[in-house]
Amino acid sequence: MAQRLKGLIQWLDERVGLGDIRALGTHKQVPIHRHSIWYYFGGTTLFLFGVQAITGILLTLYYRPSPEEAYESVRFITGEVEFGWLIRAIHGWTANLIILVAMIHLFSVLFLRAYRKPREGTWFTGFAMLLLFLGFGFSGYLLPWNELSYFATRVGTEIPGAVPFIGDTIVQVMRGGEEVTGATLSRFYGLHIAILPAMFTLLLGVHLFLVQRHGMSVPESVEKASAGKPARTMPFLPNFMLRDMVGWLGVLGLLAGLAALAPEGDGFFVKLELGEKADLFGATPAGLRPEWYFLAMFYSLKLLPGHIFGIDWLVGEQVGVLCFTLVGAAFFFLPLIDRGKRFLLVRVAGSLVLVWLIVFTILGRVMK
Amino acid sequence: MRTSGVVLALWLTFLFPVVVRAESNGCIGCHIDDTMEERARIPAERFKDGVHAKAGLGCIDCHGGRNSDEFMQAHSRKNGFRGKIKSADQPEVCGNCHDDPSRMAGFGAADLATGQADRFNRSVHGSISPVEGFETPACTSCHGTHGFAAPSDESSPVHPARVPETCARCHSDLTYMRAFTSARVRVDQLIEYRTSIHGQRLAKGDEKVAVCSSCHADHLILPASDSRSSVHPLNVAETCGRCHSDPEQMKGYEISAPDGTSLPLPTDQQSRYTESVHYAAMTENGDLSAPTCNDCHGNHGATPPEVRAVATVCAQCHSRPAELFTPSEIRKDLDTAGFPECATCHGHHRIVPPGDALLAGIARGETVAGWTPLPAYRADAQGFLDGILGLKARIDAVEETVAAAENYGMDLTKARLELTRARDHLIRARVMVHAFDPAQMMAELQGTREEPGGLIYAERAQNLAELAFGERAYRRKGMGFALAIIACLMVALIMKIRRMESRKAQPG
Amino acid sequence: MDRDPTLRSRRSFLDMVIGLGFTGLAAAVLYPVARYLIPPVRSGPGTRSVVLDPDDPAQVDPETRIFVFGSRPGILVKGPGGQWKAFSAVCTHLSCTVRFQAESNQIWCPCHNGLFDLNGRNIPGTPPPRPLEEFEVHEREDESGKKTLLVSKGRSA
Repeated sequence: MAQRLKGLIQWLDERVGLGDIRALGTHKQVPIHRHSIWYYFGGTTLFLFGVQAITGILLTLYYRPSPEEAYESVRFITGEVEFGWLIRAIHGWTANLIILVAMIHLFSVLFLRAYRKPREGTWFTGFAMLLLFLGFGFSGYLLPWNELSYFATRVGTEIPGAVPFIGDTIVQVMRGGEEVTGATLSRFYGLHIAILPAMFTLLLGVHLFLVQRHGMSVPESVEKASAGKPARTMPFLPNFMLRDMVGWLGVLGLLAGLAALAPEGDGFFVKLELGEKADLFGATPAGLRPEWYFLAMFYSLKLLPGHIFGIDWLVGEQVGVLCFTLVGAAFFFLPLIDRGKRFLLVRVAGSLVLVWLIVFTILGRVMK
Repeated sequence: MRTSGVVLALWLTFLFPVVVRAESNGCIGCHIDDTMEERARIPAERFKDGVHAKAGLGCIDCHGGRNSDEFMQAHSRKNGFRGKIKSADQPEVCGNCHDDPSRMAGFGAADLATGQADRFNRSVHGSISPVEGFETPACTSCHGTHGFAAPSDESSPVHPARVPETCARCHSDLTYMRAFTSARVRVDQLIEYRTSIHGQRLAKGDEKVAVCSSCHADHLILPASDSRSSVHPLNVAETCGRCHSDPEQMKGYEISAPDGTSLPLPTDQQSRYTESVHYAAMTENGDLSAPTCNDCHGNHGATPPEVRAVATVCAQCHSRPAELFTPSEIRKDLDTAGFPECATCHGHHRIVPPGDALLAGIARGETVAGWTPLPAYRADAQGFLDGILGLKARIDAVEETVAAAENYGMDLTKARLELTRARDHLIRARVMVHAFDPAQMMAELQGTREEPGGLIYAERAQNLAELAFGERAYRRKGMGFALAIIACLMVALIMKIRRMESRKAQPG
Repeated sequence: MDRDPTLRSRRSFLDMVIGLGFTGLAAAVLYPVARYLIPPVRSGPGTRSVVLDPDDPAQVDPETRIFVFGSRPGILVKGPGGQWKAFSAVCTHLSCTVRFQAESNQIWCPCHNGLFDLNGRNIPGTPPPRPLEEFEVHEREDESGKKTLLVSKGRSA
């Protein structure tokens, strides 16, 4: 048996070059230091993306993207198809976890200043992928075509309308018309299962290539401490890979637990219950909130007055959207902004943003 | 000379007053003359005996023109002569005086009431658009012309005894009525009225009874569809109550009791009715089809329903209970005992929402109308009550289980459907009480070979809910299994890492 | 390297556990996926819409014209003009299930003899205070020319 396996491996090696891949893995070194834990979050994000791809593909087998059938088909999946509830619950929970893990990954890179030369490209692609995750979340949320998602999308797609001059056009392009209708559903479906995955795959390829190319970044503090001496490392294969696997298994177990115990979400931050089908002419349900990862922005916009300082041309919503855009741009261009000794500033600003995100997400959920 | 003296005396006695009045009223002087054609003479004859002549009014006060012997002078349009007063002009002409309190002061017992013309103008009669070839109703349609008399005067067409015929002149004339309203207009009100207690008593000379105007108002007559109308469903009870809630008015009237004795007519019907479920349905739920007085007693043919006709009256709306009750044994017993069918248990006028308590009452041997049910009925009632309450309790319990399963995110659509069916049978069981037949009640609760009953459906829902709980347990078991594998793997992997790295740390 | 036989056997045991674990995990993941891939035999009822074959007695009761619409009953009749009409079969009086009555060509509630015409309008003088809730009916034809009806709760685009 073992003999035969060895034969198979050899056969493959001769044709594919397994040895090269293996050599690549064993030569790749992962530094060991007190910040090593943060290295795992990238891999976990990747693992969760794999879960999303598989469960997502499975869901397309039964899902039907039309206003007449979308809700019914999701109900069919959870109610009639065996283990359909499990697939949908895992997809729903992972969608939320992946954004959380990706954000942790982003802030760890930010605070460890891992984006500095020569890893600017890794940062750019990574940040863009986080934005794509938000896009995945936003587009996927509408697909069940239930009451909550319908109205959340109606509110959500209205926000770009605050952009001067082209706002209305953006809203129309997003909705595929004046209103959120079946046309919007078609659009969001296409976005969710084709456009975003294609873009994501491309970015992911570049991201992984760059990570491979530059190796793991060692934090400056660790570099300084080791003072030129060769840092302690472990080979990616098998040591780091096995550790990664332990983490993934933990995440998988977490997902299994969440899906089995709370298939409809925790009911507080994560809401996966289907509820009633969207009624286009129904009243907007009370206490409408977006998904938790949009809560901070949602609540900030809500707090802004209609006109800031009562000035006519300072429309609250416009200013808010402008601020988010600026902060987002600043994040994206961080490696270009942070040159030389500006790291303290970046750390303070990053901390402020992180605190804002946490506090406003909680406030957005708790406040009426 | 003697002859001339006699002639003079006669002249002085009989003709002089006429000549004198003719001098002060040129119109009558000519119009009263025998040579006048009837058309012109009769108005003058009637007028001189009417209330208006007594009040000192003359022809010109209504007809215009000059009080002159000279024809051209008297009938000159230049002098405002208008000849016959058109219907459309009557309210204004009559209203000139009758809407003016200062002019009406001093007439009648107190000052004469005013505003009739104004009220008429706002009434259904006052707002009819003219139709070619038909006279629209106006003041004279009811009050007559020229020889006006007070309504208390028997010669008046609006004297209570004559009101029904006066109204019927138009309202029983289908050709006339169709000219102004729809082809479906009713013209049988008078015939119905004559059969009513009101009509019968009126025929016997009782002028206290209700006539058309008692309910429909006199001048401000509005259609029943108008919410301001005295006969609008929401106002009917009040309108009937104006007489029927007045002990003074009802004094002397009697109604016969089941035992054949006579009782004084009660006056609490209106107050009791306003506490009823019917009144609430109308006023609180806005259901104008809910019954008020006339829906059970009839409107024009208002008569109290006979004891044996109660179920028929109630069946107008409550057809299902009546359908079950009519062929039942219990109905025969009630009829024999002289108890008013439905009203025996549900009461009358103050009919409150039925409930299981009514059934409990029968089981105890108590009914609203004082009927004492036989022990067999009491035992049946207790059985029905236990069965209904049992089914209700079962449904509530299953409902709770289903809701609990739903809370775990299970889809219990099918269980809900079964519960709906169970609840159907609960409602039907409650109606089934009216048949007072244990076998039929059993069919609703337990079911028959052909159709399951409420308890069976509740059981099916319960089974589905239990299946869901089973499914939940299965899910948790599956999760536990997966978690166990994952945990083992994690431990094994960690051990392997430890082993591998400790080995590497060793030299060699 | 490992000259110590106990260490070696312990190592191979560990490897075996890991191998078994991954096999088990693969089974635990693949089993639900495989079951998921098998399509359910019966298409389930929707709560907002349902596809009906009006001639199938399993879907629409031939006598009462009742069909299942989510957790509640619906009723499918041919309207006065011959077009299909569907309503919620929940009586507006006390929520009993109404049914078609062939003799009177009306919709009838057995609880209190409520009547509705074939447009779902409550007939005055019977207990129901309001018309039945109407559903939208769209006729559809599949490739084989078989006609089915898509019955949906109104007002969804």
